[in-house]
Amino acid sequence: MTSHLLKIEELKTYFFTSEGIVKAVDDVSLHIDANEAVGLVGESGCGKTMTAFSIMRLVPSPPGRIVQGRILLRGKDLLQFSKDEMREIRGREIGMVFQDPMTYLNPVMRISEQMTEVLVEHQRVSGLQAKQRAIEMLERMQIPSPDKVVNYYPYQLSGGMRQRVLIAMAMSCEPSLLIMDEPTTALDATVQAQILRLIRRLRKDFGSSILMITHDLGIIAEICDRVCVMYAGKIIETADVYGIFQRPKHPYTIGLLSSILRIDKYKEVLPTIDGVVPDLMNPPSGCRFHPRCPNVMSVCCERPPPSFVVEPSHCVNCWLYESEKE
Amino acid sequence: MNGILRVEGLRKHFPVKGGLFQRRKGVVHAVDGVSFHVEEGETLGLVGESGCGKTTTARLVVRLLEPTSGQAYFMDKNIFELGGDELLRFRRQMQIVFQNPFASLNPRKSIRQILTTPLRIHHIVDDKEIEKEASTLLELVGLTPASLYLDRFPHEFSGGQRQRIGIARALTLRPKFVVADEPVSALDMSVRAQVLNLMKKLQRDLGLTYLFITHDLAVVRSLCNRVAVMYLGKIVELADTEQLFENVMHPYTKALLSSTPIPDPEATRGRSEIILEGDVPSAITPPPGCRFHTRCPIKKESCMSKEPELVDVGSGHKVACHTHS
Repeated sequence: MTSHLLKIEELKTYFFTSEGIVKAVDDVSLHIDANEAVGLVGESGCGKTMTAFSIMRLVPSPPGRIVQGRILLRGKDLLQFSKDEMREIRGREIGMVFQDPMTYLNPVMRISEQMTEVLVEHQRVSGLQAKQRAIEMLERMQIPSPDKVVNYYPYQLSGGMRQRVLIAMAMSCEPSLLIMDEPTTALDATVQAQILRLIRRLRKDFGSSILMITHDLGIIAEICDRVCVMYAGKIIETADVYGIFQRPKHPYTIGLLSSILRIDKYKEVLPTIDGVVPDLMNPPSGCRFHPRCPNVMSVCCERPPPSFVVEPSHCVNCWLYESEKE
Repeated sequence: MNGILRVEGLRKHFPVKGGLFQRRKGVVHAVDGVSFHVEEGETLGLVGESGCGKTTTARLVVRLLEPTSGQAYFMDKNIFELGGDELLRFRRQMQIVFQNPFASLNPRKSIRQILTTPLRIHHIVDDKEIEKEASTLLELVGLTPASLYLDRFPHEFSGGQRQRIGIARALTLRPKFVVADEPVSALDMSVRAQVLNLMKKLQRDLGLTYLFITHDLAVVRSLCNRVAVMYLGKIVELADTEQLFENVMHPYTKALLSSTPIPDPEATRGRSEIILEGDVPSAITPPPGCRFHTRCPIKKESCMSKEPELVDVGSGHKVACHTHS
């Protein structure tokens, strides 16, 4: 077995609410290799963000709890780590960039204070060295006049600049894995293009692996090497980026790809996926996609499909591919 | 050219107040001299990034805001001079669908109340017919059977369903013209296509005219007949949709097209990129000359001092750029 940088095995993260148990992440397995960008794509409520929060052990608890699974970082299970050990991992080994930069920057602290905090904590450098390093990081994020910006408060920056600061913070200890949760969703198109270009450049410069969480298949197509498609708490298809876009196998992936609008093609009638995303408190029996699936068979309503290997490194959880090996 | 809606030199400036005694510190030039027209039965897309003035334009056109200057004519009547009964009649003919289906429905009103109140106020149908009309509307937007939905409250619905209710509400008064302000931006991909198909179908069946506000050029391509691209309160390019995508002229539109990710790794990784530097400047102190010159990759001397006019370069394709005049 090759050693993966990060390997998630049968992860289950449930939320125990007064109305019932919400199975936000239900039996998710995935891996990320060194230097690889993996995309986790799905619609809102499919559990992609909670998968990321589980890796960082940031699941709000209560009501959330990781009830099962292993999250192996270089073979060590993060779920067995103590709080202190986990603090060593966050920021140093795994960096995270969130969707809304304003929520994750402290509005009453200067950028310099927020950035140096991470460095002083993890790299045991002096305050002055840390500030120097912070300025250097801001410069690498292509922030104009970083020596000035470092003394700003978050409100003095535009959305795109805030996101750069957040990425600078996440990258400042050169983590081996960078988790990005919808990093450009709150940004305008032209600024999004700037950030995506920056992310591509950072991959080359730092060689970090990336877990890119997004609902936007366009971003996946631009950034990622491999893609995991999530639906209702489960990963339903995994393949390299060309496999997913050119030879999608799962009816959900096929539906999703044909329903998205493209600037380079006109479609008179947009194909759609009927129905709505299921309630994760009472998910459908068998395959969770079966109530909306155009190819539904009787077995789909009864048993959840295992992962079938249709091509090397292309797995799909769908009974249509039962003839392939498991 | 007449058109069902004609907008001429529309301006809206919002004062910025601050400091002691709330003194006026400046104005936000949200919409700054915008002219366009919409033909009956067509869809005009208004695209741009946040802060370009597209939503303000939408709100002016339905008269939820009063303009600083400029005119808008709906069926040859000046919208901003309407009063009394005429204003009520105008409201019946022009309706709006809002962006956020979570904020635009009153959480304390049932769907029945949301749909019957406008019917009652405007006497659209006989009082006895009101309930039936509400059911018909729900079924029109694909929420069938209506009896299942009428007595529920907004929080019981998903985003896509709420947006359908928002559309049904806009249609209660049987309008001719619907302004749709980013109606699908808050929705998930698979639901987005459903709502867009619904809007296309309603347009065909009811002969509606749309002014469609969006930041997403992909939505424009599949829905709009013509497009106006806005930047910092001004229209920089206006053309038939296919014409715009085939022969894009303004450098900003080019950059916007190039920034929109294509969900196809082969297409997106091979294409040439135009990535603009910097952010959109402040609308309080917009740059002199061409407002785009601070980020323009092909700017000339004259762009910094002289403001380009929106000129027709042939077959209704209008561009505001010195390199094309």
